Amino acid sequence: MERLFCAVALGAALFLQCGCGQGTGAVRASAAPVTLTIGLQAPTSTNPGYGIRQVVSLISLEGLTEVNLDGRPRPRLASSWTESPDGLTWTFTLRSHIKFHDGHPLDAEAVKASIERSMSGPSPVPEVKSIEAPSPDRLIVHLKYRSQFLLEDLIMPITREGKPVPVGTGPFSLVSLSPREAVMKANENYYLGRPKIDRIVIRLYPALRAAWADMMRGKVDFLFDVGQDALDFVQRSTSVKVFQVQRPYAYAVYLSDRRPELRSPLLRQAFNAAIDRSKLIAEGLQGHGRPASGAVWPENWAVDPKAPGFEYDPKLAMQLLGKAGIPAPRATSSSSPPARITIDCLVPEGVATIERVGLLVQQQLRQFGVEFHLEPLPFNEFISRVVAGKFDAVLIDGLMGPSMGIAYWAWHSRVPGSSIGFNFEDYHDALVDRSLDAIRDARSDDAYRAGVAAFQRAILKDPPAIFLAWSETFRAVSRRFDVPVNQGQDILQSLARWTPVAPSTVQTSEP
Amino acid sequence: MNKISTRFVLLLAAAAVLPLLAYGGVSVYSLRSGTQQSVIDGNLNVARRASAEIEHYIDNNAAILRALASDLQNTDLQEWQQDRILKNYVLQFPEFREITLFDADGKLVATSRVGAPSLAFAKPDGRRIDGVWMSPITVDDDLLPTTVFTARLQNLNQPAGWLMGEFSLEEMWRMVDQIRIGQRGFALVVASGGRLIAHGDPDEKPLVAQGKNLSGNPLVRAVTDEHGEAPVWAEYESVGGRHVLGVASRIDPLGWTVIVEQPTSEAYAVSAQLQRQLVIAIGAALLLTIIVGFLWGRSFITPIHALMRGTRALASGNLNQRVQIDSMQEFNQLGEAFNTMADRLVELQEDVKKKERQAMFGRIAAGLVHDLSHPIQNIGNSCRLIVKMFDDAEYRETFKRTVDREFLSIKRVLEDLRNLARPIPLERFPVDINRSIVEMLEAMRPNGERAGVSLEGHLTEQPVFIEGDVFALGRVYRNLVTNGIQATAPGGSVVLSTALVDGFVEIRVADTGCGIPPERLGAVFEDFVTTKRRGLGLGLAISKKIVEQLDGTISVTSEVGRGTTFLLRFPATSARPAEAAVAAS
Repeated sequence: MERLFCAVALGAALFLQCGCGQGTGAVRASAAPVTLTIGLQAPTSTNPGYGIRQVVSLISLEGLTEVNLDGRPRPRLASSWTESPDGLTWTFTLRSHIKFHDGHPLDAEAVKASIERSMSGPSPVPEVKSIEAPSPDRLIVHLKYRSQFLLEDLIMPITREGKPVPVGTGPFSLVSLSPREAVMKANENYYLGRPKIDRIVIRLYPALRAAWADMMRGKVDFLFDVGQDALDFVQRSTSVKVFQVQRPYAYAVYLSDRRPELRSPLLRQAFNAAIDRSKLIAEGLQGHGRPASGAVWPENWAVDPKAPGFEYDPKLAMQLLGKAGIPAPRATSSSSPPARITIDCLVPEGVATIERVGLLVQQQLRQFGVEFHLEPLPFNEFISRVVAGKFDAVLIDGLMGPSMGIAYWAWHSRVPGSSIGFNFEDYHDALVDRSLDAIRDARSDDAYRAGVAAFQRAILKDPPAIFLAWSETFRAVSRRFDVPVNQGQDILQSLARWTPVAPSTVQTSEP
Repeated sequence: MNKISTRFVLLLAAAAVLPLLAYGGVSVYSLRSGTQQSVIDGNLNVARRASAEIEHYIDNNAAILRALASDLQNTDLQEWQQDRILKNYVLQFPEFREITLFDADGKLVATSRVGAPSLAFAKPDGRRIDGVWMSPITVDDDLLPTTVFTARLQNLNQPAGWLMGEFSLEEMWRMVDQIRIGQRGFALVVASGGRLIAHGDPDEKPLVAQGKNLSGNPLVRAVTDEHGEAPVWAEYESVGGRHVLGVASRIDPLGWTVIVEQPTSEAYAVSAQLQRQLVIAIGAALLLTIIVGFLWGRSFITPIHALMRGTRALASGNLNQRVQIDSMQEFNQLGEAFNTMADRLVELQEDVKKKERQAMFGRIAAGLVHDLSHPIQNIGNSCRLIVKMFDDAEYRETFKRTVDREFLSIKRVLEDLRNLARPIPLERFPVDINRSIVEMLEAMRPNGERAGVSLEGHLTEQPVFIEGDVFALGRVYRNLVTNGIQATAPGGSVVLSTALVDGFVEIRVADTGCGIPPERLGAVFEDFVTTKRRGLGLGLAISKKIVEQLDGTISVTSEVGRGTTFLLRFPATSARPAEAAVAAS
């Protein structure tokens, strides 16, 4: 479980970082404290990798690096770095004048302590052998082996110990936290300038629809996710602005290697050929998504666009099912439908979109004699089952990019020196392992690209999941706030620069 | 000039402007009322069509559930088969958020949900639509309005179960959103009880989420009262604070009301635009009428004005004035006639002048002959006698006096002629009028005695003074007294009197002579006009000239056979002559 939440937290933080911009110094709209209320639909969980705690972490914590949408790392708390010729020693220069929320200065010793603290358990940085802090602004990291994933691994939050959440350096700090609500306040000493928003209230809702309804009632300023059903209504409203967010998440059915029948690469290929992704996107996601033809985020800088991908091919699917030795559908009892094979798929309970996507997958696979049984579970139970590997299949909208480090954590059969990977389905494929190792060890961009191309082809031969669709997310913000938009970035990343708009200047337009 | 212009403007206003304004007013009123009714009718049609569509939509979805119920009953399907059918239906018909099948006892059989259903069995209530119950509008867990359709399954006419479908009103919103009038006209759906369950305006949808109750809306009240019989419309302030034109139509089977609201500014935009155009057109027509009228009127009035100016000029003696008229033929002819008349007047004037000159020359010649022949004859007689009586010293003295006197007479005649041609030189000093009259009477008394006429003076007790020239005044007195003596038969009298009246010194010279006929009285002061049979007739003209030079006036009254009175009037002065001046005089 720890491995899972750490991985998910890392993955989420990888993409949903905030406060990267310089403060604009814009004049505050009024003297009254400016509060932004965020409406969030997420499971209630004490796990910092999920729900309200995850969003709190995204807003309050920062790492040494962050990752662009194309998978390239860029500086965050570190201003620059150098790599030794053998790739085993990395020297980081830290930004100056940064303080934690508790006022403690962020220096090399604090960073070293934070990273070493995380290494005390399952390490999120398994390649790290030791860390030195020769001066307040210099950090030297010694590696056990070469790793191109170090920089993206170092997006891990740099924190000081604190409760209920660690103390970070982000633009907002936590004031109070309950299972359904968190209150945060502006970091007066934020090194990129004090945010224009004084206070953030994060409110948890059981469903996206409930959060949207409260936005209509004026109780929510920022709808973290706009449900597909409500999207067109929200888009037509002139009091709200909708932002499309590209994010490297994909709907996929992760297949367990523990069940022998499902271990067959041919069967997995058949499943991937049996899915009509366009129809699924049209009917399940209201057209908002892109077909996922592989495991590599299409915007990644190293992706091989010419590499073959999964495509809907019912004839091929039938052939592959035959080759995989899956017998024709047969009824085992009158209480269950006849099927070539029955797969129990875990889904988190109460997530309408996943439920609908699951039903469509069920419907499509049924045409090939595959009984795809959906098993909804309360979130915590769902997590427990997944982490324990007790499943045939799991359907989630999961992180699958933007960097290749995510693929490494997810699909490599053995992450050296750590057990933190989230290969919960116990997937192992020698070709996939070799291609991921090649990426990790790459000494040049070309070598990296070659490794990615090999990975794409290896995945095609032995898919670890049924890849469905890259999801698209929409966020909605009341026009009471002026939201700076950086091309290709989540608006959450510019939260520190959001500016309240005086009521008289709120712009509306005719629908 | 102004009067004819004013009348012309009034004529123009009465003939063109007022009718045009009246036409405009009637047109605007008709346009407004006609357009308003047209808009109301159009919007009502939209509302009725929307009602029909919503009713049809609800019917369709009820039919879907009914068809599903038919599929499930009497088929002995396994639960997994029923489950599969329900899930397929929900995927196919997003109008149903969930469909759940219960057995006759209300026990769960199958559901479209992945996991436990959210619907719990309850005996159906609400309205029946072709065998399917639609529950009253309630709010769901998200506090949004919702309703549940329930269909009964039967097996051999025995209750076999219940099929319940949670209806997604948001899907109906999409249909309501399509109902638009203009840019800002939207539809609303109000459930029985007044709860707003759909609003086509994206910015007013929050009202639905807020559970807004519109039972106070005038249309909802009216629809409830009228039961959908009469067309219902009203103008009112919407919940969003806009002034709107609302029309309503009732969906009787559901007890719902469809309201179509459109801001009045937009609903009547065409009418307002037409009104503006009409007003502009009328205004332009008015302006054009006024401009054309003005120009045309000016072309009409200008010749009249020209003729009036010409006439005035002629009247004032300017016979050289001519008019130039380049307009309508009649005015051209009138102008030409005027100019011809002026030309003829000039000719006549020249003719008159010529005749006057000739007459005047005759009068002057006769006067000169008269005035000069007597002295010349006297001088001639004296010259002939002097030859014979040259040795007579007394006669020589008489001769000298006679010749001096006659030459003086001749000199006076010549002076009079000269004074007509140029101003008489005057030197003004304070003059005692009474004294000057007394002196004049003494000097003239012998002349009166010779003519048998007595000269009398009736003077004020106190001396009266004017700023005058004593010599010039003496000449005036002499002229008037001489005329009086000449006009008065022996035994008559000439009386000079003075008076001080309202700051003016009045001098009257009254005789008891033959008088002046009234027709000649007005010309007695003109040059060469005389009532006497002989003489130049310059005496009164010169007297008038002197009096006016001394800021005085002279007038005459006369009655034939009774006498004539001349009245001289001068401003009195408080100045007094210096002693030296008095002594000198």
